Amino acid sequence: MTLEEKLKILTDGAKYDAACTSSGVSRISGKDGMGSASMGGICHAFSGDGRCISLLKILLSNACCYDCAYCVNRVSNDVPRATFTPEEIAYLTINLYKRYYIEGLFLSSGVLGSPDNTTQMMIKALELLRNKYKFYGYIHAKAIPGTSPHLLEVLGRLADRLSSNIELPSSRGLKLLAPDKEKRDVLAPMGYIRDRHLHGGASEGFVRAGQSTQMIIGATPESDFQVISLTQRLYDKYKLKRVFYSAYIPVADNSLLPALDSKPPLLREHRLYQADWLMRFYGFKAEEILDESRPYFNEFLDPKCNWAVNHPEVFPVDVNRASYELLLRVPGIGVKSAKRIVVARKQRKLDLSSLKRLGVVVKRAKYFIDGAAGVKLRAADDPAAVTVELIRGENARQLSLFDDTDVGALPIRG
Amino acid sequence: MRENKDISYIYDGTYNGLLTCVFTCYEDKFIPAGVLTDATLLPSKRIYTDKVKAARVARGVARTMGSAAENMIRNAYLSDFKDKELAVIRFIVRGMAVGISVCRDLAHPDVARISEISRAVGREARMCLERLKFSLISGVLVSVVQPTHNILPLIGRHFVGRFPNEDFFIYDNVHKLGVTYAKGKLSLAEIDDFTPGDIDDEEELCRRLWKIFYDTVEIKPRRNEKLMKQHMPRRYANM
Repeated sequence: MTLEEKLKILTDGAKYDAACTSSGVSRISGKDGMGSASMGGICHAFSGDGRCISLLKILLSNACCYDCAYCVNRVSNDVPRATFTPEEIAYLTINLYKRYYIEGLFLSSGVLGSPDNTTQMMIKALELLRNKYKFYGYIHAKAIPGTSPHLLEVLGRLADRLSSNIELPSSRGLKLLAPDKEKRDVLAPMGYIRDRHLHGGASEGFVRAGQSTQMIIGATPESDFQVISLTQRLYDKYKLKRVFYSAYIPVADNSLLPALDSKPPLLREHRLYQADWLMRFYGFKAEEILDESRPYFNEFLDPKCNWAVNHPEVFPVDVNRASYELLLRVPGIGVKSAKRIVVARKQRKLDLSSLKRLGVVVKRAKYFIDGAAGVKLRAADDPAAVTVELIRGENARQLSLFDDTDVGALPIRG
Repeated sequence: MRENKDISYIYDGTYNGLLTCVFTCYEDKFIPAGVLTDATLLPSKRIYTDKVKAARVARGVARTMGSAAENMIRNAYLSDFKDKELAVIRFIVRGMAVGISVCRDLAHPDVARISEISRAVGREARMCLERLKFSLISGVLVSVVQPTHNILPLIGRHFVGRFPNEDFFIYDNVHKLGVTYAKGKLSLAEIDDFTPGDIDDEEELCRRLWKIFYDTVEIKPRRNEKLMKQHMPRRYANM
């Protein structure tokens, strides 16, 4: 098999992993090699589906011995199989990196016989890259569930980030669709990495950029509230850097799964990322965004606007006095503009035109702030009418986001 | 300072020239209607670049307005905006009057404008730095880009940190500027024209491998060409 053929097979098997970030660590190249990393990460290209390409995302092997129903690499699936040698992985990484196509390597793998065996092979490839080729670029490696701690330790010193995928938002779903995986096997590497970090692991060069996970959305029937509550627990309990969501793309004809011709729930995935953002940067808790009585996202309104129109008692907010935390609750004010407001209001009193200069989306913010000259409609007085106006604006935004997707065909919930 | 709507300045387009314009404003006691690099039919005054005057302005800015302001002025100078010179002049006039707090007065129109210009330059530098691609030609990593703003001076160092042992050359064929890193030294030079040499078999193979990866990694049921194009301006992402 040629290198080209292998690359095609092993990219095809890796592409459903949503994590492609190269962030969380900063360094420049050692004098003996090449490679640097930038704290915010770098996107080098975008594929035709509009997703960022940062890392060379490949499998070491797709010859998996597990039979997870949702996975394209399951043992019972009739697809061509291939396995890279460590030299091939190093050749691809170094040569694509040098041409600045990629920010580093994302190495995952099907389970080759056993988790430990697979991890040992991954370690061989990464050792070759780091030690022989003196590669200082970003490496994200998969912590295969069931791997022994001593091997995780070695892998974690070679990689900048590790991830072990929780796969499905409930253990029931996991049991049903991934009979070879146990919830505790998935959580064990997460716990190990967290504990190492609590005891100075990062400063010893162990998984410097922290860990992430991903879950598949839409293969099993969990509610949005269940998904974001789980997300919150993962951030709180395991100190994850990121939780990724992957809209389920039908890859198997299985009565337990959505039909092969069903469309990926992209709007739902988008709402989950919005909620995730609110939890990581805006100080929201999962229970504020959704709850048991309202377990699904509003299809027509982003979660922050949705929260705001449901809490008219909080508004109007006085941008000249409100705390940073409260500013972040105002639709149209983001992290950057809230920071600018806090700095700029010490120099002069802010009005609508100065807010615009600070990057506030006045079109949305005007219903929620004090002293917006000429704005008659106020969220505090008539939240329903404001909702209508916001939905009108959101529709225009969303049509461009989901240009090539039939939004009407997405599952309607609310 | 008073705005003079009748007279424009003409200068040589250099950074010191721009700082000389600022110096002249203080001599003339007005802010001109415009600052141009080409002759105009409107009433105008030619400003001759004077290193001593420029250095005095630079010193004053550094002392009174601080390093954040210096960076904003330098970034704005690299921009392609028609009003960049006036924005710099207004910002310096404002800043010399109020001091270091000027950079925090983000809601003031003269501060907001230069901050906007400076951020636009920073954004493009970042975009170009992320999206450009190299070809390995005769042992040198070569890239040709077409940025709107003159961002080449801002991106060379990043590649030194990444490829300390490689030689590289990035050419901006809009501003006719090239940044070269050879034998461990980084330099910037005006270059009228540049055509990359022929590529060899290994370069051919690597491009083929990249294309296979790029085409395969896309999840076809999620196709969204508009989103892709929005993030991949051809100005930097061409090969």
